[in-house]
Amino acid sequence: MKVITVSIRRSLLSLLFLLGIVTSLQAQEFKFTTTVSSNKVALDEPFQIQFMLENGTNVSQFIPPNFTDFELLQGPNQMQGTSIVNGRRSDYIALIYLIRPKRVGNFTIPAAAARVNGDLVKSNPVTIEVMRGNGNAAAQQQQQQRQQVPANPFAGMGQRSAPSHQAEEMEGVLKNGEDINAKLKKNIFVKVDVDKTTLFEGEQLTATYKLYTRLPTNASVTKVPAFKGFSAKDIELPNPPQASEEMVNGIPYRVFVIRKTMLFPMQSGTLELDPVEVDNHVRLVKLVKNGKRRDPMADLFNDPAFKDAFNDPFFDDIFNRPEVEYQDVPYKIQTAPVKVNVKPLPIDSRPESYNGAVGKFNMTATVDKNSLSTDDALTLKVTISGQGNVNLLNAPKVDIPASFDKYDPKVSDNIEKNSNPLSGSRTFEYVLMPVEAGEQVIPPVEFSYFDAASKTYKTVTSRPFNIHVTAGKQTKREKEDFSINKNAITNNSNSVLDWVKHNTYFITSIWFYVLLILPLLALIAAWLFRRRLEYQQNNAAFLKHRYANKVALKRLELAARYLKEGKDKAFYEETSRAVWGYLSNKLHVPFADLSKQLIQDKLAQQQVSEQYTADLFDLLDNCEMALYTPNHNNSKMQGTYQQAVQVISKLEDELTRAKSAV
Amino acid sequence: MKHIVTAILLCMLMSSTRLLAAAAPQQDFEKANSLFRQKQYTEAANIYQRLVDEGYSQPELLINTGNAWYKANRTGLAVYNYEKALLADPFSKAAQHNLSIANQRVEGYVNELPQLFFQQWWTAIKYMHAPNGWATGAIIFFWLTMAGGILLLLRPSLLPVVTKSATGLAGLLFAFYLFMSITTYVNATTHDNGIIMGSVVKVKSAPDQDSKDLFELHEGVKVQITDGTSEFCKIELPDGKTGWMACGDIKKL
Repeated sequence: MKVITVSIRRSLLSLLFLLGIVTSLQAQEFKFTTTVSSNKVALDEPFQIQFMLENGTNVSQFIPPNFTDFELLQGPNQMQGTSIVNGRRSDYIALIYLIRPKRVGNFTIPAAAARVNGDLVKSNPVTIEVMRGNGNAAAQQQQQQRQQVPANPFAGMGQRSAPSHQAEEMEGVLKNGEDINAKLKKNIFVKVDVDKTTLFEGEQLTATYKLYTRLPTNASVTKVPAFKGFSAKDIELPNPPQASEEMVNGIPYRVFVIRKTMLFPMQSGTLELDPVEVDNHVRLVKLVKNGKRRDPMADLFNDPAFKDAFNDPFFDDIFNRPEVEYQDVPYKIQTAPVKVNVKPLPIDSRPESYNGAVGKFNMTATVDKNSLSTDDALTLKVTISGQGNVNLLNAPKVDIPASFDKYDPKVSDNIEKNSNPLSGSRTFEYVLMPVEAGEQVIPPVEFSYFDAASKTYKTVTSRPFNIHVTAGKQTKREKEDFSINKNAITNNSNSVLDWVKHNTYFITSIWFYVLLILPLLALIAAWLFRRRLEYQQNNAAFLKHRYANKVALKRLELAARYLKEGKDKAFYEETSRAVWGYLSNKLHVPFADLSKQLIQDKLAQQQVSEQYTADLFDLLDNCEMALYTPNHNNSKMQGTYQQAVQVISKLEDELTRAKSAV
Repeated sequence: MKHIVTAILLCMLMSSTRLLAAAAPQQDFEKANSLFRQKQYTEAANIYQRLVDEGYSQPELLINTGNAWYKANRTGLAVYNYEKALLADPFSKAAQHNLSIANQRVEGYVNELPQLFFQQWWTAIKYMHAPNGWATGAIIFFWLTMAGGILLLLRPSLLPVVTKSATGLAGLLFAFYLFMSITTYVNATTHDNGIIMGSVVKVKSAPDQDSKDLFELHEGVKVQITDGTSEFCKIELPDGKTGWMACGDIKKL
C-alpha cells in the first residue's frame, strides 16, 4: 500500500513536471564546480571534465582553464537544463570537455572562470593522478562517466532504469535475421531471491527482486507484490540503481535490484511471495550505414532531462560511434512465485509475557524519578533494542499497581536505516500519575522474545522500582470534571459513630419465642380457668338432679318394697301417697288442702311446664284407677314405679330451677 | 454505706470498659480518616475494611470505606461498600451518589431498572423499622392480642364489642409485624447479590472450567446469585443474562 502511494506520488510529480507546472520552487544558491569523471586515470585514457554552473543567472562569459598537460579530445559540449532533486529545483549549465593525459604524474587543472551577473566567479581546481595504463581502464571510465551524468532527472521519477553498458551495447545490437523475442528471453529476466524458505513466524526473511539483463532497457515496475501474510519493510536502494555483475550459466549479466524487502510472516503455513511485474522497453540498435556525425550542439536543446540520459545518443557521439538507428521493443516479464514455509512458534514453552517478538533483543526499563508527589507524574521508559521484528514489537505488559493512573504508552522507534537484518530499538513511555501517597512498588517489567537461532524463548526482566509518593497540595484532580461536584465522591464523614454491631437478630433469639409463648400460656391458663368455672356450674345442676332423684327414690322407698313383694294395692296406695306427700312438702301446702286444681295452679305459678304437670296428673290418675281395678300384673306396676320416679325427679329439677331463678 | 461505694465503683468500672470497647473502633476510624486525608488511600481503606469485616455496618463507615477504595482505584471494593451502605440505609443520598460515580468506572455496567412505585412503597415499609424493631412490635401486639383474649374469657360481660374489635386489630397487627420481621430477617441474612472482584472474569455456560465462555464481566459489576455448587455460582445480571462463574470471584453483599 505504501509502495503504491509512493509510486502514485512519484508519477504525479513527474506528470506535474512534464506539464511544466512546477515552476515556482525555491531558488537555489549559486554553485560553480569542477568535477572530473575520475581522479585517477591511466595514461591515454580519455576522461571527462565538467564545469557546472548551478543556479547561475546571466552567465555571460566562460573562460576554460588551460589543459596544458592534457590533450583536448572533444568539447566544449554545453548542456543546459533543470533538475529537481528532492523537490528542489535547480538550473544548471554544464560544459563538458573530453580530455586525455599526455604524461604520467600528478597534475592540477586550474579553476575555470565565468562571469555571472557581471561578477567573475571561479570554480575549484582539481588534481588528477595519471598512472600507467591498463586494459580495464576504458570500461571503468565508462561506468564512472555514466555516474557523472549531471543531476539525474530520474531521481524524481518512478522508474528504475537499467543503464546501458558497453557489454550490453554489444548485445543490444540487433543483427540481421535475429528473432527479437528469443533474444529478449535469453537476455532479460527477473528473479526473486529469498535468504531462507523455512522459518518461524515473525522471523525475518529478506526477499530481493532482481532484474538480470544484457540489453539496454528502460524498465518500469508495473506490479509490486502485496506480500499477503507478511509485514514488509523495504530496504532503500541506491538511486540511481547500482548495477552489479553476476554470472548465470557462464554468461555475465548486469543485475539491478528492483526491490529488496524484509518480510516478517504474520501467520504460519505455506505463504507465497507475489510476483513482481516489470515492463521493459528494450532499445535495440540497428547499425546505420550512413556514418554522418551529428552536431553535438544539437543535443543541447534536445532537453536531455526528459530522455533516458544513459541511452542518449550524446554518449555515442562521445565515442565517435557511427550513426545508428534505434528500435524500442516493449517486453513484459514477471518473477516466478516463491513459496515459503512458515512454522508456528512453539506453544508449550511460551512464557506468559511473550507477545510476538522474534529475534535477539535486550530490554532496559527506567523511571525518571523515584520520589514525587501526587501532583506530579513519572515516566516509565521501556526500551527494547536488538535485531528482529523491531517494527512489530508490542508493548510489554507492565503491572502498574492500582495506586497509579496509567495511560497508553507513547511508542517511539529508532530503527537503523537500511539495516539488514532489521535492527534498532523501540521505546515505550508510560506516563504514570500516582493517586495515593506512600511507598509504592512498580513490579519488574518482563519482556520475552523468541530466539529463532536457538529456537527457544528468552525472557528479560528489569528490577522492580520503589517509588516514594508524598501527598500533593492539589486537592482535586478528577479526570471527569465536567461540572462541579457532579463527578466527585462525597467527603468522608469524620464524626463519632455509635459503634454497635447490628448483626444480632431479635427474631432468632430465645427471648423472642419466650415472650411469644408467655402470653399464649396466660391465654391458655385463662381459658382453662373459664372452662373449670363452667364445669363447676354444670356439675352443681347435675348434683341437684341427682338429689332430686334421690328424694324421689326415698319417697318411693316403701312403694319399691311393696312392688317387690307384689302387694299391688299397697303399692298403688303408697305411690299415690308419696307423690301427694312430695307435692305438699314442695309446694308448702298442707296435706289436707291438696287438690288437683290447687296443684295445677301452684305449679303454673312456679313456671313448671305443662308437660310435667300433665305427666303428674297422668300418674295420679293411674294410681287411683289401679286402686279400684283389681287385675294387676307386675310389669304394669314396674312401669308405674318408673313413671313416679321420673315425675318426681323432673318436678324436683323444675322446682329447684324455678327457685334459683327467683 | 459500704455497699453504695461498691455499687458506684462497679458502675464506673463497667462504664469505663464499655467506653474502652467503644473507643477502639473509633480510634481506628479516626486513624483511617487521617490516612485518607494524607492520600494514603490503600492503607486507610484496609483499616476501614477491617472494621467493616468485624461487623460494623454504619452507613458512614461503609461510605468512607467505599471512598477510600474508590480513591485507591479498587472499583470493585468501592462498589461493594457503597452497596452495603445502601443495604444499611437505602435512602442515603451520599451512598447513592457515590455508587453511581463508582459505577461509571465499572466496565460493562448495566443500569438497574428503577423501582416501580409499589416496590418503592414496599422498600419504604420494610425500612420503617429495623428487623429487630419489627420483631419487638410483633411481641407487643401479640401481648395485646393475648390480653384482649384473656379479658374476653374472664370478663365476657365487660364491653364485649370494644374488646373484641381491639383484640382483632391487635391480632392483625401482630400477624403483619411478624411477617415483616421474618421478611426483613430473611432479607438481611440472605446474600444472593454479589460484586465481581476479579478484573476480568469469564462467565461460562455450565459449572465447568472447560465449558464455553459466554461473556466477560469486569470488576465492580453487581450480579445476583441464583444457584450454586461449592465452586461455581450461577449468576444473573440485571439485563437478564445468566451464566456460571467461579464463586471466588464474587464478594457477597
